[in-house]
Amino acid sequence: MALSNQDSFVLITGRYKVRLFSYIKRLTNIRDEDAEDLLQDIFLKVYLNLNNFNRKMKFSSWIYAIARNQVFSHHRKVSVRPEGHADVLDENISRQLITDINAIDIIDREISRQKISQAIFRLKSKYREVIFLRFFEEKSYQEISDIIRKPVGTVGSMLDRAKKELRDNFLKLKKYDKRKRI
Amino acid sequence: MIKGKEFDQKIIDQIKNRKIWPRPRWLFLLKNYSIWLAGGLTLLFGSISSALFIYLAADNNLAAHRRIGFSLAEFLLLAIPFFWLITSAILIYLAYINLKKTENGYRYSPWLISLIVVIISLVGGLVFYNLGLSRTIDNILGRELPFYEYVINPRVSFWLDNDRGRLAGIMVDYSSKNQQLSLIDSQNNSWLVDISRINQLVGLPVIDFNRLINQPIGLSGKVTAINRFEARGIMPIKGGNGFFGRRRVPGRLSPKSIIIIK
Repeated sequence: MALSNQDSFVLITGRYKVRLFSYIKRLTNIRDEDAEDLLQDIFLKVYLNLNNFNRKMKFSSWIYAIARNQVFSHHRKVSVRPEGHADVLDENISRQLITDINAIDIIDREISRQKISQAIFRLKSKYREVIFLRFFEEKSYQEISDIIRKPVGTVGSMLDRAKKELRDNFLKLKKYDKRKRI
Repeated sequence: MIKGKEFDQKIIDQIKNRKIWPRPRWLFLLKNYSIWLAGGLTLLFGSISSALFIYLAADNNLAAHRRIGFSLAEFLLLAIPFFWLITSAILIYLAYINLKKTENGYRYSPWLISLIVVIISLVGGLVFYNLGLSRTIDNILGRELPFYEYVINPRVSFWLDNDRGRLAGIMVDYSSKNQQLSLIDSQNNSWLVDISRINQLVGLPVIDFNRLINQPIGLSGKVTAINRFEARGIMPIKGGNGFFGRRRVPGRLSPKSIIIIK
């Protein structure tokens, strides 16, 4: 996939910059300017490694995997663990998540989408990551496997554990809310 | 800002200013093949190490140790070639790491890869063992490697302890009539060994001394005079042919230096 014309790389940056930017923001809590710098590094790395694209996976999975590695190596350099960004969820995503973890019965209508994102924010980083990829980026199990470089079976069990932990977090939030009201 | 065209242009400008191009495909292929090669080599060495483990661990029967009068703990300590066991484990682990690092290695379960690596190492080890490679390598190591008797095959050093009533060497002659055998130890000394008092426990196979000629053996008993030993127990030592042969410079071992049993 070598590009004879450097300008044609703009097709890739144009297609992935917004998605990768929000992916970086979800993986880390860095400022927008830093995320943009990181995104530039990611695209330079993608360009350098274009000939290493593994045709057994989707191009988007390959580019996400590079982004993920770059985020982790950036955080290793600054000796900080990547911590997710607790932004307010999209209505559809939050509804989908609640249905998927069978939490309709335990979630009060008053619990806002912000609370849901707080529950996600409390997850262990490895679980938060698969939740992001599955529900926010809408990746398949195989795609997640290619991005985080773990077998599909492991991805499945990580997602199961992530959902369980998320449900537990909801329960804790509900208890906390009740106590506050009393 | 990220949504605008300026960002795309910034990337393109950086690529142009820094004059960077995609790395050539062959570089990545070379890296991938190197990982496969390293994986293959560690599997090969793992198989050879397993073959040496099998070679030294095979034919270690508890019955023979009972004949000598060892405890189970002593038996296990001498019977298990720990050096090769640890080396095999390290090489198998390195092979596993290499296979996991291949382009699609992450797609397979660690258990599956571990199982495949262990099976290949064991099957390879059995093949090399049956081809006699393990014996050849053990002989070379015994002949050339310092500390062979302490690190690689400690059962050799165990038997090299005359003060504790042990004697080891290559059995060179045997007489059933006189109940004697002659042996050359690691210092190239020739010993005459009285075997008339060797314990023969009921129900255990009879020792076939003729099969032990030119083989390393260990004896338990006591030194009765200079280069004379009274044996109470006998055990073939697996491996160590090279070690016991290392000091035998050609010509030095003349027939006169060997005690001939008449």
